[in-house]
Amino acid sequence: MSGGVDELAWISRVRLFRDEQAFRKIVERYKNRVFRLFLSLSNSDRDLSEDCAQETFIRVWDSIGGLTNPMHFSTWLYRIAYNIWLDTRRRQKETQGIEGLDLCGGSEAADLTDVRDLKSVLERALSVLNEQERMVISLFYLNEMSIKEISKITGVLESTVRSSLTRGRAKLRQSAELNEYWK
Amino acid sequence: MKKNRSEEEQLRGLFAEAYSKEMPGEDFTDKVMESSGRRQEVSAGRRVVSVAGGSGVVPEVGQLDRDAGRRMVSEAGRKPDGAARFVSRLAAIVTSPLVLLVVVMACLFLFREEIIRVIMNVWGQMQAATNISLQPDFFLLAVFGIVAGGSLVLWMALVESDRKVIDLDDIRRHLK
Repeated sequence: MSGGVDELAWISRVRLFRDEQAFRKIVERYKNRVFRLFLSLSNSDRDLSEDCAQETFIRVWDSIGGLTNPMHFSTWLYRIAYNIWLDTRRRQKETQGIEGLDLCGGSEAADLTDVRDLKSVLERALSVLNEQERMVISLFYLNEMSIKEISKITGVLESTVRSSLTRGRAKLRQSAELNEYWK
Repeated sequence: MKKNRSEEEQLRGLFAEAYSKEMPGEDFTDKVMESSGRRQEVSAGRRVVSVAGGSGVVPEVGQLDRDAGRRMVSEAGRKPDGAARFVSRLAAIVTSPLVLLVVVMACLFLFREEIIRVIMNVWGQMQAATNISLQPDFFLLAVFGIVAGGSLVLWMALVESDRKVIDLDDIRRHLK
């Protein structure tokens, strides 16, 4: 999933010259996508999502020298985001205890109109999924990554991604609320 | 298969619609840039007295304090005040290997008369004690060679140990 020639030029400039302007452009291009990914994973905990997104880009800046193929920058970026999310969840588990986990805790009060309503419906449907399924579903439907890319991001086999996707989709199908939107 | 594809498209549409208006705060990019800029200085081995509060311990910029559930980026990545920044940069420049080398060379040049006198004294005492017939010029040259070589080796060792020599980016940033 290449972002075009201009993106390759920015990446090269950041890698070779630590060019801050080029890095700013990369952040501008990807910040919404990365933020939304964390938002969908954290049930719209905006603070947590913004923190994770910031950490993702800071880590990108730190380790962009290790990027072997700039053509696959977005996959590499989402892999960093994925690892940060795993770290975050691990830390949450350590502090709260597994029983006390509250994935829905960050959910904003459902506004019963328009987009907010759809978002809270989606959040409720997503909260039934396990973490692996949720990550795969978010990457596939929200970030429009391919199964092959998701496999690279999460480090699991393509067949496992495919089955997580099928299971996740089936669970979403069970949500009556969501089915009203999803004919 | 067709049904699956249409389902996927629908679901993608729902996700896109639900999250399309969500975006991070307006200052998000600035915060990232600030934090990564601070990191760059830290990783270059610079002294970040101002950021670390003078203790020599550099907090990890971008680190998240999950317990408190709050952001530390803004704390650690905050721009230090002007005076602290000046001290930090001055310390970084003064201790850079290139500057040290220049200072050593300048000292050798400024005090050359005194140095030569001391060396000649040593040479005279050595001559008297050992009876070695060595020309004073050669002796002088050897001493200067050892000092210059030693400085060069020291300088290279400092450079190798990742103490950053003044770089153009840095100067450009200072001038901004």
